Amino acid sequence: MYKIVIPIICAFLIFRSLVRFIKRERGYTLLKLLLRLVVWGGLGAITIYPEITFVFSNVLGLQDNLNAVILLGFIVVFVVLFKLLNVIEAQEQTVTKLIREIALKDAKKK
Amino acid sequence: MKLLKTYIALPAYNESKVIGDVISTLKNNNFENVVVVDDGSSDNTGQIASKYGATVFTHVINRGKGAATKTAIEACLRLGADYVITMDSDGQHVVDDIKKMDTQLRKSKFDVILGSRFIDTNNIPKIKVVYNMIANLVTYLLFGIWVSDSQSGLRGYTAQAADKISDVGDQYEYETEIIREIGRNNLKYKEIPIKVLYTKYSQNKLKRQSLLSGINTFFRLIFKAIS
Repeated sequence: MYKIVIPIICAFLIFRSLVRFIKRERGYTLLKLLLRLVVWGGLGAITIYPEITFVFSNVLGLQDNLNAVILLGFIVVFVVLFKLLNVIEAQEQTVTKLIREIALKDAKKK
Repeated sequence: MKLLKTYIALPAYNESKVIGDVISTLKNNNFENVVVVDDGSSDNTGQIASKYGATVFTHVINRGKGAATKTAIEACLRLGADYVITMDSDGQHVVDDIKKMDTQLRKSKFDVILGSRFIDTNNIPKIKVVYNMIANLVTYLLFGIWVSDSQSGLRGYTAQAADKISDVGDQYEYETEIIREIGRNNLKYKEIPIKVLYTKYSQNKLKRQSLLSGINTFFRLIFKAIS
């Protein structure tokens, strides 16, 4: 059952990403498209062909292919989290700059 | 000859109980130019500061001590300061130390004067000493500059030095990042001993800032260092 449902979901998400990229939606960069292709495409591929995971385990030097997949998952989550924290920090700085400019708009008059 | 002006920069958040006294003390000691940044206080800190004769700027929402200090410095520069002294607004600093800092800025060739609570020993709570030692060590490991008090709020800058200090955080990591900026901009600095009045009011505030805030600051510094 999961061999049918998961690839369908992945295909739908990839299709949606492609449409958004082709429509040139604001902020939808090639990097975002590639990232989604790798994540959802990878998940779909592993579901259909689970033996692919042995390639990871060989490359990473881990004996168990499942451990290799979990490790890769952790790395991906860490990278995404790191990226998110960076974006939040940048947004915080922008908000502060805005608040500062509002506060100082009459500075020379005082 | 142009008379060089010193501005006092005070970041303030919910300090209505003490801000009036702090400003009065400064004014009574000939520090006429006092700039307060009300960092989105929920009490009437801003109104009281204004009533006591400070020039008040308001953050419409709270952005943290670092952000408020940076705004206060920026305001002082825009108002024509030649020297800027930043200090805490909870009344913990002694006016004689501020005078000493002003004299040092005017007479020495240093760009930045850092107040240090740990050059001359005084009545600092032990937990604060330990916390500061850890902070000094983190500062040294991250930025390669050893100072005896990386967390002091009492610091003086020439206008040129203050203008160079730009890329600093919004929260308490600000104090440490100033040290990084000193190194990055090759500013000449000097530490001078200062005293601190640990009143009941400031002690209660210290409890509120607690260990959790220190850990938060530590992680923010590490995150910024690796990102």
